[in-house]
Amino acid sequence: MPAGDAADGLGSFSPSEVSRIERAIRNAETMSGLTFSVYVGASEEDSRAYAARLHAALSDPDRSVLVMCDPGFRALEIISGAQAKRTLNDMECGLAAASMQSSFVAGDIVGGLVRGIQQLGEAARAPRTLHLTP
Amino acid sequence: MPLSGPVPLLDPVPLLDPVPLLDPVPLLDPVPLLDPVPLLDTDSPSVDVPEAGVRAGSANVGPVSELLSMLVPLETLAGRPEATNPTVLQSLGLLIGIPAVAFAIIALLCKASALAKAGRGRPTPVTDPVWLGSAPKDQELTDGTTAPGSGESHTGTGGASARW
Repeated sequence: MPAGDAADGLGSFSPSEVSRIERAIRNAETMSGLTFSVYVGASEEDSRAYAARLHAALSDPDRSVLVMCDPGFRALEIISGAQAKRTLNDMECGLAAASMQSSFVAGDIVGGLVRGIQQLGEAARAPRTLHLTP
Repeated sequence: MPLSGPVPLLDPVPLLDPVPLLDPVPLLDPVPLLDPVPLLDTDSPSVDVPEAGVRAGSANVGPVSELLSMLVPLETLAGRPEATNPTVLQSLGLLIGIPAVAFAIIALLCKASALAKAGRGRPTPVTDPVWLGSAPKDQELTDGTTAPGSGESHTGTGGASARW
């Protein structure tokens, strides 16, 4: 579903906030070649399992990265697919999660998401090589 | 000689006769004080004695003259038209109005950055789930009606978790 459709009628984020997050997602996808999804909403008590199930329901889960933020439970989950994990390892996900966490503590949900997605996109950037592909 | 019999006491002789006191003689006769001599003759046209609140070549000023003189020179140069006294409104504006405006501007500049950031850090109330980027095809996953996926998650996934 396009981001604009998701924002319509919800009213949780202002249009400018939605635009900021969408721009960060586009930049991250352009840099990394992966697919990024952001889910902000309520989860279950086991937020990790809930995020894993959401990730599995994506159209291309192997190449997708899901960022799930539950402001109610104060939980943040980053799920990277099997193929995305090759370029975006768990340590880089942990660094991005720490960056987002510091913004969430200050109450800046949108700013934390934007910074975290940008960080994930830069970390998953495919290294440039001078070798010619056959 | 045996001491016998009472010895008659001598008549008391006055040691000193009371001398009549002399009339007090004034040490110095009171000299009549001289009439005060004016140091400066105010009537003389050659000497200009400034009076209180009056300066040479300037107009009379009121009780705020000393305070105003710290900020505004009250003397008028020779050949210039005589300076007029500032009104009470002008004095108030100079002494109170301008500092108040400067204080307000400085306070506004200090508060500007805080006002700009006022709405930025507020926690966003999230009432409904929001999907941004690519979302799952089945939107009922996160609308609260059904549990997502019912336990079928891909293996080999990575990532990180955090709580705040």
